[in-house]
This record gives sequence, C-alpha cells and structure tokens, in this order.
Amino acid sequence: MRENNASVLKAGGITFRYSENSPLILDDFTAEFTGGCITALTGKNGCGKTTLARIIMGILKPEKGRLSLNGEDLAGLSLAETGRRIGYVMQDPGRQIFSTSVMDEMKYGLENMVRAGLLDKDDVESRALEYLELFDLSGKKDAFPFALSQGEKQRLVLAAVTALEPGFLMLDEPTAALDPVRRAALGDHLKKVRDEKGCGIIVITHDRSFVADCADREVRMQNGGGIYV
Amino acid sequence: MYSLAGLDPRTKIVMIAAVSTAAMAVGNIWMLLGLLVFTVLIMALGGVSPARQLRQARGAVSMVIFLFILQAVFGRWVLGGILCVRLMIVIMSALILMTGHIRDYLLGLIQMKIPYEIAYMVMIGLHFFPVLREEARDVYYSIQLRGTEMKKTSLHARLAAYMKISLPILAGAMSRARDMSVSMETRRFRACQSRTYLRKLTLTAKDKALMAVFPVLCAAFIFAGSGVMNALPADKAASPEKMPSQIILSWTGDPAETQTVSWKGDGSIQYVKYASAAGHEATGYYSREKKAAITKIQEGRYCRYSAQITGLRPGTEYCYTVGAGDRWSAQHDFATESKTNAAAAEKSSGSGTAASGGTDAKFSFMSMGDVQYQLRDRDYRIWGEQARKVFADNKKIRFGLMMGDMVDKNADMKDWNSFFGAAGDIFSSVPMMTVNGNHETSIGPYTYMKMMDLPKNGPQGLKEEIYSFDYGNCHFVMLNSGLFMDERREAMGQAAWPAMMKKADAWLQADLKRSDAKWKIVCMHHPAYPAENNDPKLYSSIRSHWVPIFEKQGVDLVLCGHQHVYMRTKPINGITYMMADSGQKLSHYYRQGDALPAYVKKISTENSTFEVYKVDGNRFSVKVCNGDNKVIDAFSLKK
Repeated sequence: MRENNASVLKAGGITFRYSENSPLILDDFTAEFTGGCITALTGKNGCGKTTLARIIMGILKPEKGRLSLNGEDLAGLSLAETGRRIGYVMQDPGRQIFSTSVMDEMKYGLENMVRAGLLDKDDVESRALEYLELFDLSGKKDAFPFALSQGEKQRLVLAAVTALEPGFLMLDEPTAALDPVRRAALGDHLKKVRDEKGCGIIVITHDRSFVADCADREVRMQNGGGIYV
Repeated sequence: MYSLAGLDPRTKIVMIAAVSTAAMAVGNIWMLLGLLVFTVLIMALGGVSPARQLRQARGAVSMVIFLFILQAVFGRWVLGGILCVRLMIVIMSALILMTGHIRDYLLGLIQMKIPYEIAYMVMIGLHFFPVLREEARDVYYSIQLRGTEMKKTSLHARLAAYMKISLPILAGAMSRARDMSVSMETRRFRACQSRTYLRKLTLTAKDKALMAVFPVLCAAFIFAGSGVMNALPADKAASPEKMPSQIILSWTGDPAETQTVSWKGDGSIQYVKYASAAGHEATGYYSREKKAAITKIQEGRYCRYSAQITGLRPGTEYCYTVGAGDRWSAQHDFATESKTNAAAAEKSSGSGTAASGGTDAKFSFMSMGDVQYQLRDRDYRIWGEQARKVFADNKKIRFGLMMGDMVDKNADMKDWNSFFGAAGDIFSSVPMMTVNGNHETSIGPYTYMKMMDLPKNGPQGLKEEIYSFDYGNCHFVMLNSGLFMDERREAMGQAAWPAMMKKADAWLQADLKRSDAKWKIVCMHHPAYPAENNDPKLYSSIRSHWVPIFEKQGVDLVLCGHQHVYMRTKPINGITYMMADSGQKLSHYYRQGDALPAYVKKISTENSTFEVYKVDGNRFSVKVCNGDNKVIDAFSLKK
C-alpha cells in the first residue's frame, strides 16, 4: 500500500445527527486517511458519506469527536484555512463555480493564497496554467465555465482546488457524470496528482470498478461507523 | 383563539397579500415597525411561537442585517431601516405559508380561479426555495474553502464574494427550468384541459371573517400611513430640501448685460438678490432683486428655480444670493462680459477689424466631456476637485462648455443632485453652457431641458436643443446630435423627422452665415469623426447633414464628447475636431493600441481631460490638461 507517513487525517469518534430528534447519521466513526494514497469511501445511499465529508471540511459541526490533520485539530480552523489543507469537490460541481471565465475561476483561490502570503503574485498565472494542463483544460481557459460540459466542470473544479496544492483532496462522487473513458481519464489524473504532488485523496464513490482501478485502500461506511476493507 | 394551520389556504394567501401590500405601500419606519410586531403577533396567536418564527427566518435575518449595514455605510440609515423592516414583514408574513401543505395552496389558488398553469408555476417556485437556499450556502462555503476569510476580509471583498453567489444560482436555475419544462412537456403537461379534484376546499365562518378583515385593515393602514408620511421626520430624506442649493449660472441673453441664475429649492416663492460688487461692499446690501420662475421637475422631490437678471453693466463684477425669508444661500459672484477693452485687444492683436462689433476679444474658456460616472459619488467628487484646480490655475476662464453626458440616467434626480452638487461651487460664479448627450436623451432631452437654462434662439420646435451665443470674437453653436439617434427617428416617423432636420439644417446654415465672429466653434455630443466607428449611421449622418455646412460657413473648431477618450484630428477641410472626456468612466469604444483612423492627430485614453482655450484677437490657443492639471496636448489656430 502507498503511504506518505508525513500526512495523516484522523477522524476519531465522530458522532453526528442533523437535529435533536433525528437519528444518528454518524455513530462514533473513527478512521485514518493517509497522504500519498487514494482512499475510496464507500457505503450505501444515506449512510453518511457526504455528511462525513462536510464534517471534515468544517461545514457541519459534529456532536462529538475530533478531527486532526498531522496532529493539528481542525475544529478551530476557518473554512478558508481548512480549504488550504483539504481541497473539496462537491457532488455537483456547478455549485462550486462562481467566476465568468475558466481562468478567473482558477485564479480565485490562488489570488487568495497571494493575499495570505502563501504564493508569489508572479506565480499565479503559471500555477493556473499548470493545473489547467494537468486536467486537460488548457484550450478552455477563456471559456464561460457554465457553458462547459458536466465532465469539464468537474475537472475545472478539481483543477481549481488542486491548484491550491492541499495535502488532501476530498471528492464526492466524481465519476457520477462520467462515461467509462472519462472515468478512466479521471483515475489517471488523480493518480498523477497523488504521485506528482504527494496528495492524499479521499473519493466518495459507489463505483466499484473505479475503486478496483484506482483506490489504494477502501473505507466502507456501515451503521454510522467505518470498516477498513 | 385560532390556529393558522386550520385556516383555509386561500385565507392565508389573502392575509399574506394584505400584510405585504401594506408593508410595501407605507414608508414610515414607526408604522412599519408596528406592522412587523402585528405580523409576529398574528403568527404567535395562530400557533407559531416567536422562537419558531425566528428559527424559520434566521437565514433571512442575517441577510436583512447585511442589507441594513450596506445602506448605513452610505449614510442612508432611515432608508436602510425602512427597507429592512419592510423586507422582514414580507418574509415573516410569508412564513404563514409554512403552516400548511403546498398541495393545499395549489388547490386554493385553482379554486380562486387562478389558471392551473400559473398556480402550478407558483407552487413549483415555492418548492424550489429550500433548494436555492441550499445551493447558495454551498457556493458560500466553496468561496471560503478557496481561501476567502469572510470574517477577516474587508467589507468590499466581502461584498464582492456575496455578489459571486448569484452567478451559479442563476445558471443552475436556468438549467433546471429548461430541464423541467422539457420533462413536463414530455409528460404531457396541460394535456387535460378540464381537471377535477378529489378534495374541495370550503371556507368556514372564521375564514370568511379574516378574508374580509385583512383587506380592510390593509387599506386603513395605507390610508393612515399616507397622512403620516409627510408629518414625521423619518421621511425627511424624501422631502425637498429647504435651503437653496446647486446654484448654476448660464446665459439666456447677452453675456454683457444679462446673467441667468438657476438653483434647486423647496418649491416656495424665491428670489435672486444682487448688487454690483463695489456697491455691495460700500453699503452691505443687495440693491436689487428678481423673483424666480419655478419648474417642478419631480413633484415634491426636485424643484428648480430660474431668474434672468437683465440691465447689467458690461465688464462689471456683481455679487448675488438666492432664497427667501430667512433661508438665503451664501454669497456668490459673477462678471459680465467686457466691451470696453475690445479696441485695445484688437489693437494688440494687430487686426484692423473689431470682432463681433467690438467686444471682449481677450479671454479664456474651458470645455469638458462626459462627466457621467461609473461610481456616482466618487467620480463626481474627483471631477469637481480636478475642475476646481483647472479653474484656480486659469483665472481668466469666463465660462465652461459641457459636451453632454453629464449624468448617467436622465430622469434620476440622484444623478443631477450629484452633478450639480459637484459643479455648484464652480458654476455658481462661471456660467456653464451645455449640449445634451445620449444619456440625457430619451427620444428627446426632456429632463435636461427643464434642468438647464439656455438661450431660446434655436429653430422652432428645437429651442434649447439647438442654440447659439456670442462671447468676445467667438460664435458658439450648440447642437443636439441626439437628433440623429434611431430612437428619435423612429418616434417621429418617416415624414416628420426629415422635416425637422430640414429646419435644423436651415437654421444652422443661416445662423453661421449671419455671424461675422472671427472664430466659429460648434459643440455637440457625438463626434462627426470618431476615434472608433462604433455607430457609423449616426456619425455619417452628422457628416452628411452638418459638416458641409460647417465647412461652407467657416467653422474653425468642432468640440464633442461621447467616446470617453481625448482626441484631436488633423484639420479636415479647415476644421479641427476635438473629443473631450472629463469623467472617470473608461472608454467602451477606443482602447489603447486599437488601430486609429488616419485623421487622428492626437489621442489619449487618460481620463479627466480639461480643454482650456485662450482667445486673443487673431490667436486662438488650446491647451489640454489632465486631472493633475498637467498639459497633455497643446496647439493653436491663427488667422
């Protein structure tokens, strides 16, 4: 199994429900995700995969439990700080595009990194182009993002998020809108990101063939908890 | 007492409509607050506790607070308060809908004889509210996850981030609407024209009573509100200002013997009081006064006064004030055109003939292009500061020419308030002579003509749109190039428009021919020779109608604006054409590096240029200053 021991995302005893009277979605969920490898997060519909992703990203707050990245508690971080550490691609990429050109979309997060002193201003353009190329979008840099196909939108969001070079990537059902050729291509892209950037990638998916082809390991969610497969 | 959940859906729709209508119709903050309390109460009494109401409306509350802060930042506390309370009432009353099932409202609307398609559309819209809210939240999270620190960032950056939320929501809604319509059509929506329903709603006595009471309460509330609106200080923002302001000079008669003063006031009878500067200094009194004519431009909101002072002595300094009772403006001054130094000026220039019958032959004037803004208050402020600097450094400027597009929206008093507000302390001492631009034109320049006081010596039916005046040895012809705009042509029709143009052309020919001034200058908004040919029909119309007349009648200089750049042509058949730009708006047309027509001699995309002309008998020199008062172009004409 591939592993990058320097980077570990730990979820310990996460318990969550949407409201007081609703049933527990996550019940003492504990798992470790390691850097430099692709982990598939699988499970039946409604078992809490997306909920877990949103808790890890800081969008939802758990009732109990602790999330840490390399020992650092994620609970105290703002969304912007979490976003720099863990990139998140939602199931519907249309909800994550908010610029009027592909290039502007790429630059949005990079310019925020410049403001935070994490990137040199002169590197924004080249970094954006590098990741557009990585995701086969170089020819679309001036396009209106909402006119792209579903698959292209997905790759654009992936490119925009991975360009920030987070230690982890969280992808929610990235293959749902893809044909087999595109799915294989996405797998290749993710492997490239894993190998070239040393990124830990968590993929929420139902797609068994994608798991078989790309995942280095699998965490299956069941009854609110997690089982390593 | 009663339960909202038990009421007929139609009763709830009537209640919501009545409360929302009342909120929209009344503009008094105290009454609106009362209505908000009333709305909360009827919901609480109907079984929705205030805590539950707050929980259901909490997303909207933060939006309303944000809206209030936004208005407050611009100093509009009262307006912000009114908007926010009004919005809260509409939102809170809409929560009544949540006490029933959406299917019941659909049935209710249909039984109210609303066509099924519309009722269905309304219900679909309501269904989508939670989806849109969820989408907006996801975009909001995504923006933050891409590094925007919402809590730490500046207000400006936060606003920019909020603005971004609308784009994916709009795109998603459009795509969903398209998919849904296709999906509905494929499932034969509207296939059965006569539908029947298993369940039939019936109104109880309580429903009937509430349906009768709410519209009556709403009408009474609006009636009470209309009386209070004028009485309470909360509406001060909407009432006319009490003090005279926005004082502007222009000429409607001979600049040597008359002076026209116009200003904004509260609609009461007002006067201009004036005296020669020497006389006022000796006695401390204004020896004369003139009652002003009132033009109500927007009833109760904007009123303009105008008075033409006549019988003045040439070459004399005067001071004046405007107002009435105990409300008088600060003192301002002006000087009439001198006639006595004409002979000396002509002598020094070496010319044997006196210009224009012996008038002031040595003077300066200024011209300015589109002041119209991108950001209203900021851009007018910058323009005012820059223009003041240019005036301060060129004390012999006797008047200013404006090439149109002074405002963005012709009928918006906020625009005029900002323009006159920024211009007032210059043009209350130096007359401003204007032409209208396309932004002051909606078919005709109606509001502009009420705002400005200009000579009425133009052709019949086009007075003030076209006029001329003389100063020193110069003859100025001011033209409305908006006559060539398609809107005017289409509104007037095939027969009337050519007839009007024939009249305008004939007047222009006669007016220029009649003048024996040494320098003939034409001002209009649109260019005859543009920097970029973005409106070929209009520009070529000017060239075919008016340019031959200019050339035949010895026009020296044609000034224009419109394209938001400074440009000067090489002399074309003896005429130099200049384009001015004095505002902050960037050019939509020519951009740095675009290919230029061969006739262009000089061009600058720099904003804020001011042209200062010095006339000295046979010499006519022009310098063009930028916003820092640095000269960016200079040339002279000689005769």
